[in-house]
Amino acid sequence: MKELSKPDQVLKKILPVQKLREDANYVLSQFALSYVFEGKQLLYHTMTRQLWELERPLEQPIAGADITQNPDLTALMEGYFLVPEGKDECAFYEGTSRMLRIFHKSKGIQGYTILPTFACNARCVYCYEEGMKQVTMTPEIVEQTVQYILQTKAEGKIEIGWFGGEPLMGESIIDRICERLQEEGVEYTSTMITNASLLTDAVADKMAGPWKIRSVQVSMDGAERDYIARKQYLRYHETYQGVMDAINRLAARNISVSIRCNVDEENLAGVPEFLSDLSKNITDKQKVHVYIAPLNAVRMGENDLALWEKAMELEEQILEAGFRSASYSGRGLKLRIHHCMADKGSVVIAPDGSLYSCEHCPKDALFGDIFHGVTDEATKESFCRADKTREKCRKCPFLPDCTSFANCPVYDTHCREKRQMQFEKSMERMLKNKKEETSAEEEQPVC
Amino acid sequence: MKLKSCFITQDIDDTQFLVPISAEAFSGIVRSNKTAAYIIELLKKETTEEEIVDALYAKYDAPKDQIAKDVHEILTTLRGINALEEA
Repeated sequence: MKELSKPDQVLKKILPVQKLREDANYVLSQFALSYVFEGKQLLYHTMTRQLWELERPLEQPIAGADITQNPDLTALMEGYFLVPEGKDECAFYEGTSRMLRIFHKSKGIQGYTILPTFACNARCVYCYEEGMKQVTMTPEIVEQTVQYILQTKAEGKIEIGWFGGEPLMGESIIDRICERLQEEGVEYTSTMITNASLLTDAVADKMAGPWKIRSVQVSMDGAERDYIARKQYLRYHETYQGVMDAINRLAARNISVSIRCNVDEENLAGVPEFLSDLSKNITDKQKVHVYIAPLNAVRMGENDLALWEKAMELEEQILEAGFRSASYSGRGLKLRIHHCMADKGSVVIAPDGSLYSCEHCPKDALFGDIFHGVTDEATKESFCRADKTREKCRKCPFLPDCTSFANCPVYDTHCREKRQMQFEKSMERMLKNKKEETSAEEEQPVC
Repeated sequence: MKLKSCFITQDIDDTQFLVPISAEAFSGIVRSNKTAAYIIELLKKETTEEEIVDALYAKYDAPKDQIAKDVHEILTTLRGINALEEA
């Protein structure tokens, strides 16, 4: 048996080596996934992230007494790949996750998502904010937002995410908040989600300068005809090309860009053309990730799996076009303690000063406002709790890889199958890379 | 004395972990053996070193002076990470 990847180092330090119960029968952990690569039997643990290459598939159950006779089985047992029959592994994961979250929780808030306005210059046909009142921060709300941050921030650097609506419709608000934070000596870095249609040279300079933006996500919708039909800009003038120019501006200022291509069954066929356009127009491709994102309505519908399959096939084309793929394939071998801004304890400040746990601003995530602070502690905490796992997720092998609380408003209907596809793609890519690295090392001349 | 409220315990399988809620005085996680875990449970309510020794003596079959020594050691460790509120 050969260890191909070591376990997550934090977990390795914290969790004890599992002790054997000789009276128990052992079975494969729900978190132990089998994978066959070039005829080799592999076993991967989605919680500890350890990867073994086995000599042969395991037969189960295995008596505890037999494990002691076999060093390979002992190693698998100690590493939680083999667990006593009937063990509540969900509780094991929830306890570990809770402990790690508590340990990593800082005194004070480390991240703020600020929505300067709900107004937008586009009318995306799928927008979940459709029908929301187009409120923009008043000067009073802007100043109180700064005060709220000063009162509640954690020590050290904080992170600000700019969102909306279209955040660049609140350019002067962003200017003012950043100016005030700097006057108060607050250290921060920022990110932004934008359609980039208003991203001029002057705005790009601010992003690289006082706004301290290190990365931007740009939302697009496939080929130009689909982009026009879906974005429904109030005023369209070569905006598709304009957005690509904006992406180049960002890359030229060393700001990394993630292009999110929103898809459903109707515009998917145009994505190769979109990738071709990007390839021709984007100059510094290494600063640009591209990923295909099925729309939320599709993810929560019945045909989500077919779309995910096609989206994953398109990943290869993204790489061939020279871009980095910010895809779901490969979360990496580090266990993620937090899966989104809501479960990390970050705060969303809406244009009217309301406080939410989630940037989608669902009513059940509202917990206060910037004048009064937290007025509903229970709602705030409920988004951060790691122990409220959905019933259908309790036995899922991908639980450690997934949003581990039941309050998320977005979900995939066939999430387990989707994760299985992503897992297989991840493994394939990682193992191919390992193989290439090993071959490269073997080819080094020996002096 | 008792355990400070900024420390919480989390049981995972048969192991108790002691975790600070915010890393002001101590930045780490303590994994307790069975004895330490029992003591920590007792410390969730106001108690004294003597009461802890008596409780352990009633529970375990070991010489009292050995138990007293072990309790003292564990309390010293907990004091070292600023986990105890002394009356």
